[in-house]
Amino acid sequence: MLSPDGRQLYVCNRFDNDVSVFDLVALKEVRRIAVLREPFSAAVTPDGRRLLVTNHVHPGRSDVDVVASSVSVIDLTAGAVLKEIPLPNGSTLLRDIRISPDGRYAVVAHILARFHLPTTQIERGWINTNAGSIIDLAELRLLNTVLLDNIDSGAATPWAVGWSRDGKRLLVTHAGTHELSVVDFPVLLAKLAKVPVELDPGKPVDTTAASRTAADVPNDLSFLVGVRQRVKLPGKGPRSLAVAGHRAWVAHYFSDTLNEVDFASDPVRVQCIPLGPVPRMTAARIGESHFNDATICFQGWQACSSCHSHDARVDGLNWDNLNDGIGNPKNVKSLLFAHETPPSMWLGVRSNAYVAVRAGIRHSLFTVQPPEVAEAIDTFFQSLKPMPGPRLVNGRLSAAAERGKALFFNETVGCADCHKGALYTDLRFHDVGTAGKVDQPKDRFDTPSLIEIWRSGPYLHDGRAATLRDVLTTFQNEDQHGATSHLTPEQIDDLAEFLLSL
Amino acid sequence: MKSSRRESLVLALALAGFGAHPSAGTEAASAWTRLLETEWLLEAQLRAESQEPAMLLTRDDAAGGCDGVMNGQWGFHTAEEENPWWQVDLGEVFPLAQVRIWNRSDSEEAAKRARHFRILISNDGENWRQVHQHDGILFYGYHMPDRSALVVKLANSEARFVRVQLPGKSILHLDEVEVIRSGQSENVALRKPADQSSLSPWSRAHPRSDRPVDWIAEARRVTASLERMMKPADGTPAALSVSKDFSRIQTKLLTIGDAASAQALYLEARALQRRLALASPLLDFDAILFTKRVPGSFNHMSDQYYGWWSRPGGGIYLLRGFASGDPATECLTDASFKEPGSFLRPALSFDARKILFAWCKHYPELAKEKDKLNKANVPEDAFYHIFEMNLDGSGVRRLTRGKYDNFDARYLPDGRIVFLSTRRGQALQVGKSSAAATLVTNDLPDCYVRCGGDASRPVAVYTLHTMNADGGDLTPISPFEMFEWEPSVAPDGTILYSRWDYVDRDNMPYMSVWSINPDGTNARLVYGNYTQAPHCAFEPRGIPGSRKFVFTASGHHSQTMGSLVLLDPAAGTEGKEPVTRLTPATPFPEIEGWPRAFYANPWPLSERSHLVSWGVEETVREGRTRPKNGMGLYLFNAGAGLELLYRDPEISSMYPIPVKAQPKPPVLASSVQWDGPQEGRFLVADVTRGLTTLRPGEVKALRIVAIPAKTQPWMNQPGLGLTRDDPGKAVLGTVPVEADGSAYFRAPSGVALFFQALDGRGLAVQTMRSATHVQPGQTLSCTGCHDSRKESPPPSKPLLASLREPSRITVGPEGSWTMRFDRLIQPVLDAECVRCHNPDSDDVEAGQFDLTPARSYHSLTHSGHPSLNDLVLSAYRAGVSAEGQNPAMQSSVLRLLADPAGHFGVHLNRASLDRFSTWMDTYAQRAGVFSSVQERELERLRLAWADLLIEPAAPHAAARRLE
Repeated sequence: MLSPDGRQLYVCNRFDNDVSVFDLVALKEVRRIAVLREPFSAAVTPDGRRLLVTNHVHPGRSDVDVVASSVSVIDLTAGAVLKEIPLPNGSTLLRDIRISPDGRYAVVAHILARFHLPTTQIERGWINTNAGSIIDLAELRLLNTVLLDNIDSGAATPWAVGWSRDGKRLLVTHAGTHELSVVDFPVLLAKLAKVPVELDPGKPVDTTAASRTAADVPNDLSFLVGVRQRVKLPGKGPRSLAVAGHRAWVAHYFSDTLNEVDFASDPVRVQCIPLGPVPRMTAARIGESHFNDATICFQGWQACSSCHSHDARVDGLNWDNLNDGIGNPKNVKSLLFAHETPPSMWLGVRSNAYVAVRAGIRHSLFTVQPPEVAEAIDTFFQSLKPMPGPRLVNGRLSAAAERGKALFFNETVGCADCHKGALYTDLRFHDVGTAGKVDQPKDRFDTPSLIEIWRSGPYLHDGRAATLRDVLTTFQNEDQHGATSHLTPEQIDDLAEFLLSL
Repeated sequence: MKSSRRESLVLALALAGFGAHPSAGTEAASAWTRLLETEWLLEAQLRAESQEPAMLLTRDDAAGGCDGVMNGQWGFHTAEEENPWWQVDLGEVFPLAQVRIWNRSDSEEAAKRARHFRILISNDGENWRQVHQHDGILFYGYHMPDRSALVVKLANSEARFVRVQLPGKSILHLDEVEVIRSGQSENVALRKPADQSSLSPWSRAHPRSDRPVDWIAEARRVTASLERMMKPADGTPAALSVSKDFSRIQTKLLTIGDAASAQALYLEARALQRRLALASPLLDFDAILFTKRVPGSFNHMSDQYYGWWSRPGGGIYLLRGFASGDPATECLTDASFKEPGSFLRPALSFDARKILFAWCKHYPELAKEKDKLNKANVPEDAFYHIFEMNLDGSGVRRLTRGKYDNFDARYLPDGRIVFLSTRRGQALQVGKSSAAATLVTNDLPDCYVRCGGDASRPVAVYTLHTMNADGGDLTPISPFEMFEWEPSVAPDGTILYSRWDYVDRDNMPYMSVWSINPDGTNARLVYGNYTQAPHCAFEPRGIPGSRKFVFTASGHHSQTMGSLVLLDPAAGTEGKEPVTRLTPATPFPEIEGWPRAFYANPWPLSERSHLVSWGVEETVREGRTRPKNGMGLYLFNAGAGLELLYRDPEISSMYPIPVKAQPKPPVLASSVQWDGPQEGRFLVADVTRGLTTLRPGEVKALRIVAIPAKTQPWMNQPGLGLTRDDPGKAVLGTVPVEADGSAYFRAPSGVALFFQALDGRGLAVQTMRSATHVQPGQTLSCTGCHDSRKESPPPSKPLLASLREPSRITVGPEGSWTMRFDRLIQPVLDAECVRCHNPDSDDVEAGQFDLTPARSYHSLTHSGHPSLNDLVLSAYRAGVSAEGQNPAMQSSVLRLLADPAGHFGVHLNRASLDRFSTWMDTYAQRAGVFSSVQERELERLRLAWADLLIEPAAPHAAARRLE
């Protein structure tokens, strides 16, 4: 993201959890500003004073009532975060943020997860809904969040955001359903302004209305009726968007195509611009495209990536799947090495990832797909490569991590008794004293791999630990999860440092 | 007035004389042209009849008094004046037998005005003779309590004009006036020219058959529509080929003067419009699959699909060359079906290679059979059965068996077939074993509609079933106890269909669009659960390239035909917002009026372009017989009109389907365990969601009521309660609601259920007017009970109810499973009340309120203001549940009983009060079953479901305490 004067460049360092400021005159990095977790997109206000950054995943624990990612507001003059603007409960996988041309509003595309409910069904947005949050920049507060889905059809994976130059049209791509939402923004603002903050006790209540008060709007699947056009795009995976005049250009990640959209015409006109020969997709890439495709889901509500993000890791939330009963939500696991580390799921309810992938299609996408789909997804998972962790120093363990490594393999501490081998798991069940009230059974938790654990938090089966330090201290129960009670705080830090370097 | 008739006559002549389509001869070609022109003129005439006039005349308002619309409101409305009158001109002198007056029934005040009406008759419209003076007794019409017209019998009266008049200064406003001719039953006043003494601010224009066509406006309208049609085709060969003709029409339009030349120009423009319409790229198929059939002899939304009302003739056909001007038809069924019979609504496989359809053999004497209940009197092949054949008519095989009607089969994406069948029968728990029983015994009894019928006209309920491609693995996917209609497979892989929800409410208007997963889970409303117009949202179907649906707005007492509607499910589930009328000149039948021409069987090509069947029919209502040949096949374009594709002068052509491969919707995954325990679970996130007066924690329990189906066809026999068509009811019991409003409980699968939310006193704050069910092994979740259907579940904390095992159902008081007044209420009365409230009581006043078994039901339901009877009937009429409007909460009797101060020393305990509230909130029924067999079966199920239930610790404890 360039500053308005073109002198500075802001770069989101997704896995360093910070933003770099580059001086384009001196051609060097002048500052790093820490944000919360996985900064994904940034937008600078027209006056160049503030930078808004979306945190892709929330940094906290996931077994609490409110779990939501936020937008970090950076004061560029001070070079520090001024404020966090939390999005509604369940907001996750934040993607693009863009500021209206007049500098008054920012819009963030994200998923609004109904994670507190068992995943018994998907219609009417029972699991994941797909949203745009509007931030009032004058007051630096969330104006409201509107759903981009319809009552009977989801608009999965809202990703790229754009504005027409006059600010009258807000554009959001749906990377999961391969669509573009064209929103009449002034009409949307007017409609939002009409919804009261509180019910007027004197007035009769319209019991059929979905948005009786402003707090209802984030659940209203019909709020955009008459305000937005949903345009089917020829292509697969529209993840980026550029707007000029009354035209937009949309680039598709999977189909390798570019669309030109004339959004001023009625109906909206879309043309596909050929980009030369279409490269053949590898099996893994076909799998990746299925993994991100919500059109293979009933009514397009979600893709596999709606909980595992587009790169098959985590959304930081707990989900209450039916495979182990109701009322015992589990934290989403990364799919890295899923096939190499059977069984699958925290309680091992699927004997391996092959079974889990097929069960996932049935129970999370609610459809029956030809075997090739699951096979391609297997191949995609198997092609995933761990990313070197940000704690490594020049690709090697830091001194603290080296000390932690010794502790990890120390027989008394005993981490490696279970977290052993190349993937740091013995592939067995253990009782590490972490069972909660609702867990059943209480003594059989699958030992997860520790590779890339630096990016798969929060931790433990129910996501109760925001950090590894919490795992090793707060949630250590009579040294059942290795023996760590005798370690000094410094040693704990060293151990955590090692784990974060895997 | 006679113009309408004349046009119909002209059309009929055209059809009879000129044949259906052109062949090589020029004479035939010109006959075809004349037929088209006749139709175009007729279309304009029909539009004029329904058009809003520029200036309202007394005749426009008066037309509403004989338009066939009975709805309890005013059909016409004079000003307040001396001796206001309304009259109809029957066209010729008839011997008259009756005048039937439907008074307003929407307001007592308004109804009172008509108490002293007079009837006058005349042969010339000038000299009048009074033949009746009403006696001043208040009467109503459409609504309770009358639900019928006041019949005035006339003796030896002949007249052409009939006038209704009020004496003195008053306002005359009636719902409808019917005139019955001696020796006949038809209303000869229907749509005849009417007039009245004056207009009022409440006067409205009604369709009027003698309203003239404005030909200049018609010519302009078609030209404008031509311009719209040409625009998207700009530059295409089709557009270029007509552009010269179009310019000529535009030029002529500028100088148009008289009506005759305007009419000629209109026809010229229509001819051009036809060329353009038939060149549409949407017509990307060579053949149309359709059905020739004679509509059944019973005009009713339910009866229309029984084999015994079928009329013989027709077959499944292909129509080729429909756009070429030289169409040809080919019958696919004449080789295999040689006996007289009737074909019903076919379906084409996704690859366009196979056809499903239904056929029954026609037995000429069967319709007259007095005892159709005895299936020995009805041969198996007299029922509609489902057949499959190849597109060329070969390979015919029958897929269904038994003395049950089976029809409206559709291919599902997974290769199975969904269809309608009466084989749901009387099962209390519907599942694979109840369906298998229909194969073992081929004549099991049916279940019936609650509001009418008898042994000569049993109205057997049909519901959704599925089966394998070979007819095996029969699965009843819906345990609903009332009708389900006309399934289609939606683009999202669900089954769209229509169903009739009348749990505790008026039976007339609630035929709405629903969708259900092919495994029978998650039945959910799509449109119109409490929308009253249209009556029936029938034939719902997805539209290619759109998220919208099309449906046929149809009438209750007619077959599936009416006005076409575009439905946007994204816009909501009720009222006008989600719907666009594609045929605004055609009212929603019955509720808005009886159109003269009807659309049916829309097959969408786009949102605005559909293949349809259409025809002018005057005899579509119950009690009449539709013509054999009323309907033809058309291409309909919204805003432009109809283009005739095919018409057989002898027999109706219906159900057009383009012969081309269609995209296959997704196969939905199923988790139903059909062979597992026959139970499922419900999880409600917050039962108070959508309620305005109660917070979570204030609803303490849900009452669960099963709806046993009706087991014999007579209305109100036995009379279960106060409304004459009460549903069967068995209170299964209650389940707890947690402090956060959540509930999680087990329930028998395959049973139609409804719920009531109970407050801390056990009184229902809200009730359902619909039904739900679970399938074996399923957990069905809901946001709330009366939440907006447009909302996604709001974020909350983890649901308290989900943190424990699902509840079992705590069985309600003795006498509530099944509902029996004599066991639920009478024991309390006997123990506490009868000693004073009996006819021999020393306390004469108390004795008049007789609570002995012979009189107690009537005494309790008809006392107090409002009485239980009033409360139940007003809720029944309202149709939609309002918070806090349930009978127990409003009952003066319950207030008296629950008074902590007691009633003459009598203090009822909570258990006794629970009996009263349970009884009142389930609409104070006398009984909940239709037969003793059904009652025994419910008692048997109570034992079979023991694992789901918590029985009172000591059975009948409450009853014993009372003894």
